[in-house]
Amino acid sequence: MNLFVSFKIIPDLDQLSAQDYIITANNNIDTTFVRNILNCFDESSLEFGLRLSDEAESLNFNIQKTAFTIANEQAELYLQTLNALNYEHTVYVDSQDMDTRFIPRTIGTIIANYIKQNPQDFILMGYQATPGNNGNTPFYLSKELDIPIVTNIIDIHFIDDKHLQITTLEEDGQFIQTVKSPCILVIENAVISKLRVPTLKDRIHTRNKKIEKLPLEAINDTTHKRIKLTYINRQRTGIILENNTDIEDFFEKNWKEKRTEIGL
Amino acid sequence: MKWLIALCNTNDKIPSYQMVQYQDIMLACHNKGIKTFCHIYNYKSDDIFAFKTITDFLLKHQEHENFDGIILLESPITSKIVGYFSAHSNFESLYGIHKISWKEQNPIFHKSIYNHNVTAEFEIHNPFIVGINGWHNTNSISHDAILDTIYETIDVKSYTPDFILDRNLQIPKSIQITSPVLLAIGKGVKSKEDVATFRKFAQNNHYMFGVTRPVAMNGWAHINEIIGVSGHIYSPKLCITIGVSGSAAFYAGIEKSNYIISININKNASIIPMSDIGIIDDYRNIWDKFSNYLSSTF
Repeated sequence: MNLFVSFKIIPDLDQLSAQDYIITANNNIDTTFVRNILNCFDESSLEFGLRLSDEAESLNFNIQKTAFTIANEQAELYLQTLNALNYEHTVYVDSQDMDTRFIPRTIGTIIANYIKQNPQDFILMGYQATPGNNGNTPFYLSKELDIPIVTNIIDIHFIDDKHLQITTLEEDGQFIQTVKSPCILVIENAVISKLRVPTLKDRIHTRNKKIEKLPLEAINDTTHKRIKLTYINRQRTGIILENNTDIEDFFEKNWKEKRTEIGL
Repeated sequence: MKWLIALCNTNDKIPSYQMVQYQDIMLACHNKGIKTFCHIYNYKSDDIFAFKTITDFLLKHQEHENFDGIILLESPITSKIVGYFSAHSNFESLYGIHKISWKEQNPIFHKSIYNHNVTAEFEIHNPFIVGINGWHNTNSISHDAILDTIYETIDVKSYTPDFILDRNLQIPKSIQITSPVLLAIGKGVKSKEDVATFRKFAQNNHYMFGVTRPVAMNGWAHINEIIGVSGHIYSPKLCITIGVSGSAAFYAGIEKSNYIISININKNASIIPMSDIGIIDDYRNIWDKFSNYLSSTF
């Protein structure tokens, strides 16, 4: 089975305070000083890739796993980790200075172009990523490759070389299904959230393993969006109560009036 | 200009949140002289490919009607329809629109980005398809002009694709009660047992209950209990958060609360200035007293 997992490296926005959201003249926000992390849904996808590989091996099957991203050289650190975790192919398209926030169609095309050269049985990807939070890339990929797509996936298990068992969380509840390849599987709030950590021995053993770096192709993206950004100020009164006495004071003196105001 | 407004439902009755969105948008279109049409799609909730059937119908319809814009009201399948439609057309697309403003005759679509820390205002070209999520109600009242719209109701036939070999319900959806109070638990709650205790407290008092994403990812709650952009969005009269740090992605799930009381040991937690009341202490020290006051409220 050929398994492809695409992932995105994003700024850890929880590290930013309100004052850090400085919007530039070209409607960008500087996050270069913030540490990077894996997009949470993609992190689940990457760990699913490893777990599927473990399950396949126990049944005497083999999965050729590809980890793919579009990023600048910061991708190499993550791909070295994925090399150490036994991803057979680690690839990145050098995004250079491209603003990737609002171009899901272009991202889908770049990924599709790689897969057309390197056919895959299953493609795992997270359903959306910050900062753009577009949620459309998997659909563009599905159209480009002309393969079906399933969303709302929370769990995946290996069956055989052409079939996976997926669990989806839908309107009526949780469903278990068997899907056959080829298929795009879109991961949301999954039962696995963290990528395992390679051992030092694994890292040393794979330190010379190749990471494939591809150039960015020119793609004619005809989407035109003019954008203005504004930081969302969510301040409320923020009255502080610090102990049981404060709580007592507040509820004895103010709560009756306050609850009427709230509508309770 | 000519727009189509599409509603997707699993019941015969249109839910109130869709009516609110519909009224707001229809009134705006009327004021701007935009001719509107309306489709109401009735689909079965267990039909996971209803989005494809609806989109295929829309694509065919578009060939004849040439809409300048399509607006999909909020529903569990809106994001999929927007994604699938834009992939199969030359339409510009956006999902997660919570407001529409205007620059002369051109609509400006507002959506949250950067994990709900930033609002982006998009000006996009015709033709477009946008999907609503987390709409900011403008409290527009019903208007006679809304009745002037051409309606079409379409019943969506279920579709089982051949790449899905079998499909079984594993756990039915639990019904979340409707309550004026929401109890939201974060990672600051120290154990799975404590989370379960709070869940029980919520059930006994007929409160709604939810957790932050880290709590669910830790296996201390079900994924279906997640509050926020990747889970449920609530608008209770009173929201009580316990041990919640206050990430914007979570906060989007409670920001429409009339009143927020947060219990957190850390005075500098992001949730505190975003709450009406911040109780700075370990929840274990003050919960008994606080919960007694709460219970006596109802």
